[in-house]
Amino acid sequence: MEDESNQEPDGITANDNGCILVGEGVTLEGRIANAKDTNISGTYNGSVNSDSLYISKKGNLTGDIKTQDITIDGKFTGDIRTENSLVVNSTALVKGNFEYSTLEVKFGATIEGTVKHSGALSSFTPGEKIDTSTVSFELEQDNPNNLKETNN
Amino acid sequence: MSIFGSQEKKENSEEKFIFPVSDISTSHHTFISEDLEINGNVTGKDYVELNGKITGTLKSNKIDIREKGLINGEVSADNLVVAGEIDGEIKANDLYIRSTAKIKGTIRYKNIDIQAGAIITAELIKTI
Repeated sequence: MEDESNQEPDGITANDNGCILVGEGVTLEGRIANAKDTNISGTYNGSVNSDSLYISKKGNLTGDIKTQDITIDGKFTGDIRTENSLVVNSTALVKGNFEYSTLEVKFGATIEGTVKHSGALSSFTPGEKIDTSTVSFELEQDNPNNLKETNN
Repeated sequence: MSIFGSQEKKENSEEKFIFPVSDISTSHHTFISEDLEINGNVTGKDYVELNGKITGTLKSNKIDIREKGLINGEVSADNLVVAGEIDGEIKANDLYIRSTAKIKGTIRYKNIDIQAGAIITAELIKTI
């Protein structure tokens, strides 16, 4: 029993549901759909629809992506729509249009194109909140003085 | 050159207004307080800390836009830290965007660092 388990290869096996790995040095063209985990370490040209996507340092992906979470260490050109996080690490070189909920870019990364926060942008109204606290404080300060003056 | 707001407004809290003594060793430290609103062009030589609001342009070597800082217009700096809000154009060599930042517009940078949580809808352009 122990011998059999030792013979199993490390990493992705046929039992890993929803996983796809494009290994280093491999070139692939096509369309990936309904995947859970996608790992691009080679060159892939096409679209990806996967829960999570990782483009490794040697990975190079050109195409459109729909994911929940994506982490990029390598190269990417195209459009990304991610419902949760887009993480661009320092070795990454990415170009295109990005729609995200959480964006994290590490110092040294190259990211070019447009980024768009998919949340409620209406909450972003410049200014206006700033003075409210100080105004109410002034009123509180003025009140006791006014009372004293009226008592006198 | 330093610009200060009135000191009275913070006396209700335990922390009274603290003069940024530690930073004064750098000869040109400009502090723009929370209750200051500027319409026009602000140009510093060294370090500018913004807690107030600027409608126009802000230029300096190093700029720190704090959480309550707000700019409608253009910001350019060698080293720029943004924790506040910017609506307009950003030009920086080293740009650090903090998690509390809200940015709309165009961002030109040489090096960029964005913390998770920042809300950015912008065009990103890497300059050489």
